[in-house]
Amino acid sequence: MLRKILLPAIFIILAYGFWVSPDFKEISAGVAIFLFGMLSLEEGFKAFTGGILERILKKTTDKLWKSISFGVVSTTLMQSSSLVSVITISFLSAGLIGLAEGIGIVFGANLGTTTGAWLVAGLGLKVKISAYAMPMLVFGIILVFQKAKTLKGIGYILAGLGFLFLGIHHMKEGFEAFKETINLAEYAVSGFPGLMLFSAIGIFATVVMQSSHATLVLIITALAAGQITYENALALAIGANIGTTITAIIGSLSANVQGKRLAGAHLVFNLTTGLIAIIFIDFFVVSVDYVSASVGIANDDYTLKLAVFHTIFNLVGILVMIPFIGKLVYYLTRFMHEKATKVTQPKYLYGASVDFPDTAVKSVKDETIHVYENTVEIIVHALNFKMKDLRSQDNLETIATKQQKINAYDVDKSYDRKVKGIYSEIISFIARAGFNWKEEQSNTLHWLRDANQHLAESVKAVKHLQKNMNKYIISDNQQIRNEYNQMRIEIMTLLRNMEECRHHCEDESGSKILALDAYKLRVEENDKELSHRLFQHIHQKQITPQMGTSLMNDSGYTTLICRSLLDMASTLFIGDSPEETQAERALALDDNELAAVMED
Amino acid sequence: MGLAKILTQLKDLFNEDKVKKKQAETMRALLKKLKNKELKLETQLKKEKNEKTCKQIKRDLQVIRAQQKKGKKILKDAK
Repeated sequence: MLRKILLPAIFIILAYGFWVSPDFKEISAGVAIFLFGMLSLEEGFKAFTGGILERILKKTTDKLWKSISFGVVSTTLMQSSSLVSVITISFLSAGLIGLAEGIGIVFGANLGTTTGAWLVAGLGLKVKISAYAMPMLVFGIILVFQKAKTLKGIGYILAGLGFLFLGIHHMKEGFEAFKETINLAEYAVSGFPGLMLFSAIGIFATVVMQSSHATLVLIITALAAGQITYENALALAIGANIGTTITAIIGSLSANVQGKRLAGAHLVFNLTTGLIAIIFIDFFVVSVDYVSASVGIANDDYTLKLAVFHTIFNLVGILVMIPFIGKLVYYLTRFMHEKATKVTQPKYLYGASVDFPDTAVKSVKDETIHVYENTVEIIVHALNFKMKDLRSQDNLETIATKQQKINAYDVDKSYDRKVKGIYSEIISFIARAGFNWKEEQSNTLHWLRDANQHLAESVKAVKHLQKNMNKYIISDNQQIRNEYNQMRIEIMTLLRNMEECRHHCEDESGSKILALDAYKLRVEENDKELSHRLFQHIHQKQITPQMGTSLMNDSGYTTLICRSLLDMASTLFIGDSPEETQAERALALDDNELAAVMED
Repeated sequence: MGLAKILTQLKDLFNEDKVKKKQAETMRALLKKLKNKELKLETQLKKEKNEKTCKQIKRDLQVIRAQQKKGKKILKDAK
């Protein structure tokens, strides 16, 4: 609701500002170009996240001081603490680093962002950086259009830096011109109320711009133009530091529990640091003067003094928080629980029934049907269909060709939740079953165990199939799209037939097992026909050889899914009479016999 | 070996013929059902106009005939 109102409100305020003041328009354009530069810089560094960055991260985070140093260095290089946080969250989620190390990186990243203030205050305002921006943009954009990932990445970084410089230039120019019409410094508020008011403005500006870095650059350029007082600039910097945690919290809402814990640590750190800075502001001002004088910064060079302040208060924050990292990890882990995944429990396996052979066999059979139902659900969703498509008699080809977008269904997660647990319970139950049972009961249990294995195999195969299928069913290439649609239709048709076979008993022969032979033959034929078409498509250049390889592999997965399901069905869908089942099994055709029929 | 187990084995020995007979009966009943299905499919094939469906019915017939052939061989071997 708030977001819906906030965006139009910001648009109206900005539009009014642009109409009233061309200088305000230039400052805003500067901020926009600066933010665009940051996005470009992030995009560029992402090109390198597949290797070098991860290797460095792995090696340099085994100790707390190393984690903090990594945070400082990486943020200094990338000029984006949010990108460093995103990478840290991904490593935390993958279990490659612990929460304490992750917190160390975030602390370091906070200190790393202060280098941005140094660069802008030290170089950006003293050197005409827009002169460097233009060649960087030209070279950068040329490289962005290259195919090689590394060149593209370098291009984005160069273009990003170019936009950053250009943005700073426009902000600086805007504030310089602004000075001649309105003097914002006249609205300065001194003392504690000013500290609180400008801290709040800093928080608001950072939340709106989603970047403390951009806020800080804006503060420095405004300070350089004399549009804000040094005292208020300090408060704004404190606010920007707090405001950035809100960005991190919003970002972590869609992250897993580790991401949320890290955002929690970020919030605690920045709030504590901000509070310390507000409470001991006089002490910090004196310290800044002392440090500035020691390193040769002029007493009236407020922009560099602001950079010194930013560094000192973040450094103090780190020094204060380091002893509490252990406690922070403890409380964050204690209060932010991992949401327990709802794992489907077995419905029919009761401990006591293991002692009664017929009951045990019936329990395992019913539970296997439970696994089968869950497996069917996973396969249907992985194939981008709905369960109602399985139950209806609607034309599958029409449904498949109508689909415009893919459903990112997580097969692994669903397998863990709906199949793996029950499957493990079944295996454990069978292992506990008596060995002195009649051969017939032992055999049935053996077959049921195999049926579960076939179901698990079919889920694993559909996971592999899903990868390319999701890519190609929305491809512009009609041939590849059709072939992938055919594969999923084939599996769905089999599932429909199996459901029919399961619910409506036998066909005219009175046997479900024997009816499955015809389906087996169809699967083999479809595989053969697809292989034939595949080479035709490649020969006629309708698909690329890469597409052909994917198709060939995935045709194998399709056949594996169908075979696994049919093998499972020949065990699971048997009748109640053992004599009839035995006779049906004897008549069912094996692979060689089916091949002979196919050759006829 | 316990006395009870020896007696059970002896009983099974005398019952073997009975079991075989029952198995053969079940097999014959199944083959009869398959024959009926074959006849039904043949009638369906004569009426069917769609080429794709015809091809499928022919394949189903081939499978049923192969199953019947296998069943008859099992019965013959059992004699």
